[in-house]
Amino acid sequence: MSEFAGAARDVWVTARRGLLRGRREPRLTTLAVLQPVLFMLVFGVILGGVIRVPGVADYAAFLTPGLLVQAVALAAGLAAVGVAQDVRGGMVDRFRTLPVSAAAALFGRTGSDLVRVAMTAAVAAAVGVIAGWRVHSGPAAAVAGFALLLTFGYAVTWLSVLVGLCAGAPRTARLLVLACLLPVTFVSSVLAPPATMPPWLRPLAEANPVSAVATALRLLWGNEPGPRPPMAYALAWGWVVVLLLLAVPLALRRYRRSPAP
Amino acid sequence: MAAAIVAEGLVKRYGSVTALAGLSLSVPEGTVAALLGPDRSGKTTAVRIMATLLRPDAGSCLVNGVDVLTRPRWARRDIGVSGQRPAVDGFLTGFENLEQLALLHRMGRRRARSRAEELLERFRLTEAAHRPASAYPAGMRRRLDLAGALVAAPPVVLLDEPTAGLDQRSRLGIWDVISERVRDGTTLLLATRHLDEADELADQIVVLDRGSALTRGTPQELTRHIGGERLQVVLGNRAETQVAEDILNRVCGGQAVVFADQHLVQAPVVAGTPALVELVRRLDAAGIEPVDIGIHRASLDDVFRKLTGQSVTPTLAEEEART
Repeated sequence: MSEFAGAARDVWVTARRGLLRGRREPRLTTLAVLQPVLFMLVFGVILGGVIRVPGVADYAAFLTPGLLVQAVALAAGLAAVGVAQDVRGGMVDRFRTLPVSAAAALFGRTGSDLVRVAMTAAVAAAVGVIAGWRVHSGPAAAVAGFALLLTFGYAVTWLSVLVGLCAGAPRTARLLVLACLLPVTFVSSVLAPPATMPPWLRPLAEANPVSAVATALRLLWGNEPGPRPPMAYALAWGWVVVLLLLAVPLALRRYRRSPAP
Repeated sequence: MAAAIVAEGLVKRYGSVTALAGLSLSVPEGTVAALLGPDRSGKTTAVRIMATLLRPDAGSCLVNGVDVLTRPRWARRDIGVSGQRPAVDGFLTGFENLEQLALLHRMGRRRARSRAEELLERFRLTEAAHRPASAYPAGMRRRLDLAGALVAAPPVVLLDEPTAGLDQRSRLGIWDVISERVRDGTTLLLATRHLDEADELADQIVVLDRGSALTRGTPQELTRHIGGERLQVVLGNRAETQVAEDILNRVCGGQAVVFADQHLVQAPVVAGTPALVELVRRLDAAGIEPVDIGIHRASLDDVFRKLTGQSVTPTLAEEEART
């Protein structure tokens, strides 16, 4: 077997492990998938009738792209829990004593995590459609939007893997991820345009990668984007690339050295 | 005989804590060496370095002639590792666990399957092969973990506390498994904090204390040094200790020691079990009913008391007393 074919199979075997785990221990996946349903119910249906955002005519249309980004980020964040469980349970050590490269092990693992992220996105989108959200700009833009969304989710997955490798305990990993992702996803344009926020919070919400991706999606899909900020797409993709360039090498390095005991 | 594991001057520090302070070790091919020491004596650190999982601050280590520090991926082909906790995927079946490892060792699909089946058979797991490993009891999980370490039939196997958390019956089962493996000519390094385990399995014992070797030798040498088994009787009242001392002296050939305040008499013995039977007979004949009677085996704590004049940490001493 050539080195490349061997590595490709290692990726597949590790990815299959993640997929089997998702199917047989469906708790994490269920959690990830339920979250956007719940949020849509609370913000779109229960509060949707009373929420009036200046400059937004159709709140469900505005809300759905935001909730998609948030759902994808949280689903990706759960990867940290699985990784921390593997560190704790000795599986990471076992894999590290096999002649399998760090890259093959982690690309396989993040590949299977991406499936969970995609399922979450699909459910969130379906809930959005029920609430009245539509893509108004044709199939090409729809695909471009989902490509951006999933690549963003993939980048967050790598960050989560890094957190999982450093956390030490699964519970710590879960707390760390939620402590980071909840403020980041709420102080953003997910629920309301930053322009409506108090002045001290606005810069944070505007500089947020979640906002950058949500804004790009609204522009792409014609969902209440408001005034078009300069370089919206470049900013969103820029964030995704920067996150990947940061998280991938750091996670690989951490995996090759000993992860937290 | 060539050495399968050669470690020289291994040093590892974590901040101000020195986990290993220059450990050297040589394990001849096909033999079993035990690293015996209490918690935090550096056993796990040493095993992790040899297993390519951790880089030392100084020193060198060759496994099967391959430098684990400069060519870790190459060295991994020759090393099987089983850590303190069984590394078993609970959501996979026993069969899937082993098949997955075989595939990651780059075996073909069919070869991987047959290897998994072979190992399940050998580790008496065939019946549970298609149940999820999370449902396995502790002893079975450990067997599956050991099987996992042997998937690629490595010439060198490193085991870190292979019986941690097991009851006595499962421990004996694992010992059988380990000694059967060793008969195949595998070189084995075993980290343990149980003297009986090292005694049972190893050809060579290295006693570790605070990151360096306190002493080393064969189990026989070590036993001769610290004394082996003792017979021990606890009596219902102080008056009987005198009679019991006489009996014990006759059964064990002298050297009985009386701890009057504890109503306890003990004496070193060479062949513990027949002596115990004889002791019971004679006590019975003398009309003495002991509160407790038994063979006391030397523990790691005894080794340390003998070698350093100090006890191991109290918690560990308590644990040793219980097992």
